[in-house]
Amino acid sequence: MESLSARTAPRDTHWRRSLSPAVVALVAGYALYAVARPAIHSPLLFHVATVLPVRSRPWSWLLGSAPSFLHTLAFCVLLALAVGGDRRRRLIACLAWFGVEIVAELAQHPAVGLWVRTLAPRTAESLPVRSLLAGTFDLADLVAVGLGAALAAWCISNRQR
Amino acid sequence: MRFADRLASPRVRGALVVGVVVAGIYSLLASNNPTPQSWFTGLSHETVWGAWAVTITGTTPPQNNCQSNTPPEVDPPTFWATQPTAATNISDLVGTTLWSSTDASCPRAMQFSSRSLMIADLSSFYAKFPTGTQGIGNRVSSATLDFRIANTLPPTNPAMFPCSSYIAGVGKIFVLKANPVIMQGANQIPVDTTIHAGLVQAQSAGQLTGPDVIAAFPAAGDEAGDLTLIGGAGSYSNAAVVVSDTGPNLHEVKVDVMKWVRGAANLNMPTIGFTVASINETTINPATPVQFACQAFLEPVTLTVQFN
Repeated sequence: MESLSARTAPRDTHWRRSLSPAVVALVAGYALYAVARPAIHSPLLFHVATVLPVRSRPWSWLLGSAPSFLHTLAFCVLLALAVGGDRRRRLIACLAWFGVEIVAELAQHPAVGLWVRTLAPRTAESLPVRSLLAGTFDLADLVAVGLGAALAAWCISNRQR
Repeated sequence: MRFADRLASPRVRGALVVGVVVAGIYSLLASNNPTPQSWFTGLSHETVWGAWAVTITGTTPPQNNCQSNTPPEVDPPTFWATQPTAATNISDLVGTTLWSSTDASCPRAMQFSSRSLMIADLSSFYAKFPTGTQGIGNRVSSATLDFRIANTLPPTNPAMFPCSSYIAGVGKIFVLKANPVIMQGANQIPVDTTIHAGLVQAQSAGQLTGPDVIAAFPAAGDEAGDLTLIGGAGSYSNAAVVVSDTGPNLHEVKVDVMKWVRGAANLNMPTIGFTVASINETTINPATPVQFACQAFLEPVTLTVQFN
């Protein structure tokens, strides 16, 4: 019987190609935040300064949900690559991350925030929870998450490990 | 050992999975900023438009078309009716051209009155912003217009305009249909027709000397604040004007409109506008027809809108 190591071992060296969608998505997301989301002082992007004047463009509406798409795409692929194994196993990992992103988006709904603040006001003041609740719930983000996960699943399904 | 071979180790793969999950959740949380954020524009015509020169009289001076010393009002509907096509090559011109009147009862005959109008369309920057999602995320807490003035005449008033300055700001407020609330301390309370005091500080007319509230819950397009007749630098109940010299006859003005939507949720402001004007209030001798120019050129710098 095949051992766990053997089952999860990469069978070829195409991992670099599999990794490329995630890297592209991460770089694009970083660039998007750097130029289109000014005055961000979050723990992740404290070093990002506004380098370009932000102006409204006809395509600016895309900026709102693009991070959700890129983040889901990147981490679905990354998690699937990290988990490894057969296609089914990788798709399950992708689906799991899709669930994480959906939960994070739903947590930004004002009703959830109100519920958390009422139920556990101290917890609501903690930085992780505040950060989670600070976002703005948007149906378009849910669609973007779905599209990102779908694209990631396609990448995972159509490439070797 | 190749990297791909190292991945065969369950320990390495487990560490990778943990690392990816931690990095993913961390970046997911860190991309949401729990502190207020800002939107700003370089005031390009893509996002900011509008300006017009109001011709008050004919072209043959002297005229007896008597005018008061107050520039024409700019009411909110006029603001919103302004379109990008209204921008002209004198969009940045502010001021008046007066001819002394031959009518002794009329101190001034106005030839031109130009006032700059700037409207910023915030709606297309953030898809989320105009959507008006309930609760946190759509509250405009301040708006600051930063512009420079190049005077054609030495400054004669504390605001560094060549003539008396008039600055006004308006915000187009949309009241969302679903359950508007306001914050009273840490508590959210629903808004109904009996609760409007303190929701929006607005000054319908006159100099800002104290807080004011609108008489009813704001409707779509309601004026949020009017800085008309701010005569100089200083702090006002709804705003602050800071003037600094940046060169000979060149001044930088920051108009900070605060508390437009004070602690309100379920309101959003997809459009914001400012108007700047000035007028010559110098006493004119009606016996001798003389032209008095009172003009300045504006160079908008930035418009910063902070929301949380």
